[in-house]
Amino acid sequence: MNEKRDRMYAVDEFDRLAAGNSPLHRYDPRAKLLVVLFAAGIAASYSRYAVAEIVPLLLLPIVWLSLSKVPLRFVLGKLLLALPFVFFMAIFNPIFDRAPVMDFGVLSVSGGWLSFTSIMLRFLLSISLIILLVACTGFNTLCATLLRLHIPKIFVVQLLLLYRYIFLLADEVQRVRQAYSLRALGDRSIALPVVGSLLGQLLLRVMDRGQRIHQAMLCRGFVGILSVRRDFHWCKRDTWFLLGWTLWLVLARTVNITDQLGHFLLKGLT
Amino acid sequence: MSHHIVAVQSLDYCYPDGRHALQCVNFTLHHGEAAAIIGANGAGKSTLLRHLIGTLAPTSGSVRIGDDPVLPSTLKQVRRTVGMVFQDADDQLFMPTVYEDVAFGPINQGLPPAEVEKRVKNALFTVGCEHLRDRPPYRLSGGEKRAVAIATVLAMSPNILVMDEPTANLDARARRHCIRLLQGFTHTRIIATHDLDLVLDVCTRVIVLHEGQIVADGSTMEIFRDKKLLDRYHLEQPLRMQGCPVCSPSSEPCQQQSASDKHSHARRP
Amino acid sequence: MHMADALLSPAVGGAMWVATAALSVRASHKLRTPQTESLVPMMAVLGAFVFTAQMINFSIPGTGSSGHLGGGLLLTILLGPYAAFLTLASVLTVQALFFADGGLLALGCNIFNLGFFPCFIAYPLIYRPLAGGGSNASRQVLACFVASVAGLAMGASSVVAETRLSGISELPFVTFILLMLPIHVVIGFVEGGVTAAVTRFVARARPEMLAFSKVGSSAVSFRRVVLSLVAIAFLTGGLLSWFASEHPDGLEWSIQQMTGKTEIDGAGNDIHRTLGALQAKLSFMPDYDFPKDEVTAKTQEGESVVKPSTSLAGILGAVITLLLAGGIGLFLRWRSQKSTHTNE
Repeated sequence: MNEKRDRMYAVDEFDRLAAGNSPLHRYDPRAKLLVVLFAAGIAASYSRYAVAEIVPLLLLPIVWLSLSKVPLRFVLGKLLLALPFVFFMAIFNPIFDRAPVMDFGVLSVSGGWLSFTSIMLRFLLSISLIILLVACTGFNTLCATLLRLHIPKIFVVQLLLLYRYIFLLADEVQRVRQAYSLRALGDRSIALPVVGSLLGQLLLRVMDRGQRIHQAMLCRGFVGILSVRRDFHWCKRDTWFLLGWTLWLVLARTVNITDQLGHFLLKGLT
Repeated sequence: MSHHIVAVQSLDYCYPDGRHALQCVNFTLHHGEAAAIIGANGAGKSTLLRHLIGTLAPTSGSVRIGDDPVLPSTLKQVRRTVGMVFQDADDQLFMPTVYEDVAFGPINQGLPPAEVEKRVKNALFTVGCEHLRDRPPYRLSGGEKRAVAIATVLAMSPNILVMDEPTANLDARARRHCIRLLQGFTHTRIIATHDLDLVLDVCTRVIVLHEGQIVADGSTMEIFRDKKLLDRYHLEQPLRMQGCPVCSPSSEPCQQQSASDKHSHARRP
Repeated sequence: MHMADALLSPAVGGAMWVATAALSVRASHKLRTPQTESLVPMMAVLGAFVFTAQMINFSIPGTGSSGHLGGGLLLTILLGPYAAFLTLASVLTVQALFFADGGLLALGCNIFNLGFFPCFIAYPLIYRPLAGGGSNASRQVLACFVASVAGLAMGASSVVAETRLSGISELPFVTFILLMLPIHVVIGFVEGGVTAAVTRFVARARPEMLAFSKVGSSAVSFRRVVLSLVAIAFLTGGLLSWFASEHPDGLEWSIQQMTGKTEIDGAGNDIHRTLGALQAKLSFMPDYDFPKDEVTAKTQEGESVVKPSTSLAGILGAVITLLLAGGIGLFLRWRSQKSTHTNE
């Protein structure tokens, strides 16, 4: 149960990191977002058994991690939290796909294990990039970025308001749960008959708050549109950032770098 | 300065289920006046305030803000003149940063960016919160939230300020800061509150509400000296008057005080 | 249950994103009227409610386990389909960004799976007809249960379909379905119960709160929306998959079937080599397959549908690459630390 409460602290921690100042922070958020999206697409485009080919893509999160001042422990912690589900799904692959595809003499590797590793590498790549993106950009700035990329305004406003009120409600829910467990003598799970009125009352309070916020908005002249602050300026550095990483991603996808490197080394050794 | 006048005439309001929330409420406030609305819980204070900003419409009677009656068609003008500070500051701070919250009103008023910036700066300066400009609202303390909420209203340059429990849940320092702010304003002020010591510091007039009706309306000291009146309507004297042998004759004399002393409980520096 | 980037192919992810984007834009358009302006703060607080209410676990009697509210159907009952869809989308977006629930490519799938089915199918086609006007309590409760189970079952099937079509996971279709559906039916049942309890509570205590859903919802356009979106999703997915299907490999395979050789000499070889080279260059889509029998597909000699491209050289190269990348990373860190020290 505490894990979910800790999740709220995690959101807070992202906010704190985003207020920092590192080389990665200073790039235009549009450039960063576009690279992350493109990387996600590229990572997904590999064949099922691609393992070594995906490795060069990992340069992205590694370099970004160094450029930002985000602690490695933070990123690893978040990765660990997201790991179980993917692991659970990926582990079926070695179970169902047992035909060996690679032989090292004594050791033979089945296709299933290759695809398992491939899945884990993709996971590592795409999730670490999201973590770094949010940690170096901040949620509010990300929302403003979405607006610049022509996402419908009502959705961006929804994201901003939602984010703002999550913290408030998380506190309230915590209090409700604590109050319950104090009188339920330690039970943290709420009994089913109570759920309707407990959640119902919370919901009514929430909706009342929603109406009060609406009133507050009306009192300050709200006419249906919220303006979102978006002051970032694209400069040459951002173009290089975007171009550079895009080229790297395309290169890594089209040229089997690790294979070439390996062959080159083997030739050198023999 | 007619636009600073608040005139409530024979105001009646019934809830959807038929209960009377307000009955025959009559009062007029003049330019620069600071009035407190006090009463027990459920007396109808918040309901009355909501009529002043047009959130609720009277069942009968009228409310006038300056020259404009408060009607659905005049709400826009009314809300330019009257600024309301809500009981729960979190209801008023919904933008990502303090700056954007304070700028929300001026932007909606259609002001140019330079003017918006000026208004925000002044408002934040007035409440002493310029350093909180880029802070998200959930990172503010209770007192800071209250101050910023006041700033969001000040930025719209209203003539009349309506406040619902401005010092609720504030620690001593934040409360003192809020009271000092309110003392410094020259707007017409209407404050619904349980904090009677605040009333002593800020307001010259007190309106007592009981079960939806006005049962007393007079100067601050006049009302607060009338212990019987206060008792009848489930109220007490302000705390700092309660120990005073002059204002509360039944209590023990705590210091050498006499009626001839320069005796005043109002206006702390 | 959420989709993850790691299990998704670009074709499927892309198709679902197209569908989700189209739905979101449509919902945004529908909510632009003055009457819906009051929904803006309500959507936000209800989204926050769903988000945080998921922190409240309630014990399911008889199973010893606990569950929590998903929220799709409840949101739709309170806000109407379009607003509920956007609200759910926003909650999932926040979860994707902060809790890495799936990833950005999979976000399109997740919004579709968890949003489209409750809001645009379960609610209008199941809940509304069953619940009638809301005056009959038992009908409303029944409607909650059925709509909830249906919505979750559809969502779960969608996840299975997306995973299979992506071809990264090798969980067989039948096993997957057998795994997902029963669990989700049970979850749907529990969620239906909670939704019913909460809705009845609100209906008794403050019935006017249920009026928000009337804003901006018209039953007539639903069917059109639903059908056109399902069509778009399948068309896009189908097109992209067809485009990416290994024609060269299929060619190679059929050549092999015909001649018993894996390569033909002469002209055919040229064409094959060109196609193969082209495919290698444009290998933007994975070579996924839908083998009828997983075991035999792999053990067949010369089977080229599944071609593991990793070799020993590749692994060696990978190790070196990792070391190099790590080195670069450390160097950059050291340099940035040095510059902050000289600045102090």
